[in-house]
Amino acid sequence: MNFKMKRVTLFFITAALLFAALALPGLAASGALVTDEAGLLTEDELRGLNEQAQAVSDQCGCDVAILIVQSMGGQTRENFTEDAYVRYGIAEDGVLLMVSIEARDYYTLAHGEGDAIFSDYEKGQLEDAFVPALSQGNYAEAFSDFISAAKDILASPEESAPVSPTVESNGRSMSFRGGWLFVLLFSVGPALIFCGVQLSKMKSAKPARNASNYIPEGGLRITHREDLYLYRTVTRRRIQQTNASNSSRSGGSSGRSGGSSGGGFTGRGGKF
Amino acid sequence: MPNETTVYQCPACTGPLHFAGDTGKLQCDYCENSYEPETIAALMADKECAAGAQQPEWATEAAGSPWSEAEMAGLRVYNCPSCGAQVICDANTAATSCAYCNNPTVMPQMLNGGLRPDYVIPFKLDNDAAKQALAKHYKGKLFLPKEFAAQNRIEEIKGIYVPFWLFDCQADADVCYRAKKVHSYTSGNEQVTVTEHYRLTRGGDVTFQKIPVDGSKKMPDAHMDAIEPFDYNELTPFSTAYLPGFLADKYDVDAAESAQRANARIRASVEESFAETVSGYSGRTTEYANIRLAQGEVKYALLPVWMLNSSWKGKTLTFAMNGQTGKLIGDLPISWPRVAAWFAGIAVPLAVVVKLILMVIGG
Repeated sequence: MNFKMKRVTLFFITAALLFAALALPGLAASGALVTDEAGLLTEDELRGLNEQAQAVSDQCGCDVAILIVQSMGGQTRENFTEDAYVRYGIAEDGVLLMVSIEARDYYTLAHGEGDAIFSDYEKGQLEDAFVPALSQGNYAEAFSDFISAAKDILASPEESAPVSPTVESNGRSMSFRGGWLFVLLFSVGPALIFCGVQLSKMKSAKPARNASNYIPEGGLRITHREDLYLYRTVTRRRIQQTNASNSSRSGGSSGRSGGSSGGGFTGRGGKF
Repeated sequence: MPNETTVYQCPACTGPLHFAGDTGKLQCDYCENSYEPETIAALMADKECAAGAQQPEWATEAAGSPWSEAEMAGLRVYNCPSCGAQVICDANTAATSCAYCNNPTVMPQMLNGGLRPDYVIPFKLDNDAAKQALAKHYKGKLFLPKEFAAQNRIEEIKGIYVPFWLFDCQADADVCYRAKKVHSYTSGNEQVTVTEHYRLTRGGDVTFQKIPVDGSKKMPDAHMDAIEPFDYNELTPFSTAYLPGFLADKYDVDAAESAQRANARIRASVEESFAETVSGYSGRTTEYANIRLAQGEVKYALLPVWMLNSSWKGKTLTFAMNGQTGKLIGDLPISWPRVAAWFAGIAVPLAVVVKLILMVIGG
């Protein structure tokens, strides 16, 4: 590819991106992290939440976003939220709370680094923070609680994590939480094996179990040998689809890779 | 009544002779002459034959009070022909040394008749070899208490001809197994696993030669099993000429009782040998194993064992060494503080390293 062709290609890519940005509504256009399509929040509340979300996102390097819609247009909450995540141009590393007023549904979706940090356990912590106020109709308070809880988790993910190793889904690196279990396994384990071997050397007076030393050469004669086939059993197991976006993770993701690179979504939702 | 004893005396100086394992000869401690055991045995036989006609009758009934039945059952009293002292020992002792003059003494009547062994394997290794083997046994044992290893704690060392029953046997067996062959393949979006089930039958026989089982209650079974095997190429027709200088016991567990231990070992070996003929299958389970032991031949032999006793914190530790091959076994005391120190010494640095690696990987 020569220099002229590169320039032409670059021009078309830039034009396409500009067109897409102008054509897409919502967050990408406005740059806002909190979007209220259902008209639940006052302007002040919306501005305050946006400032709060932006501050957390800037501070932690992970977008914390909220989308409030009247309905999901017949889609499942998982699919709708995943589409919205891409459509609203939330950063590759982020967490999105979608609330549908009509169905009284909510869904928390994480992606990229956000996916590594907000496991099912952390999503549960988020729910504990915002669902009570949401159920009571205190929407601004609920969303503020969501952002605050997300900030706490992002600020110190180790403290909020359960004691179990979690491997980041996109395979770029491994982030172990509750790594002490892993540490114990790979430190106590070898020590136990070493001590076990040494202890076994201390005991050498053992009764003989067999008399194999006293079978002379040619002492074993097999005069009858028959291998009879009886029947067979067949079991079938559906193969789990494994790819970079949903590698055997729990959390209820539909497994779609979304429009962004570097990993998939995991989400969790419920009614309020 | 004191029993009859035999001392093998040097034909040159009449000093006591003892069997030297390294040369395989009877050696005189005084004039240092050595003799073939067969030569001395023949000389002694002539001497006993000549002395038999002149055996005096002693009226000993009047001396002392009679032994109780329990005492009589468990003890034997002998006169040392060298110094005249009375030697009291176990009812099964066939060879010992005088506690006063250390004269090696054999009580041939304990080994006569039905109790006479068929074979003996002479001692090849002396007590210095046993001490060296014990010192070697301590080496490389990280959990051995330092004080135990540093001091020579051998309290007693004895070379004993231990009575063993040697079982020859043929075992016929029919064994039936259930086994599987498993293979899998992918069909569309499914993993298909096919398991083929088989019934396997094996018939045949296994020959065993001279499985040793000790016939002495005094000897711990685990120790006697663990010092196997003996080299049967050196099995020699029994002669008391090999006994001087060592202890020797007659059996107090008969062949019928010992056969139970032999049978258990034979059955285990037959099952293992037949199982090795099953290959290419997974998930093998034994449906039945019909093992029939043919009436075999049993021989009685005295095999050489060095027994070493030590003590640690009031507990007696027993070590046994094969007097022919030098294989030494015995459980050692454990220093639990050393175990804890080694455990911590491995686990703690590893934990630090693993944690650092995790921190680096996890960013």
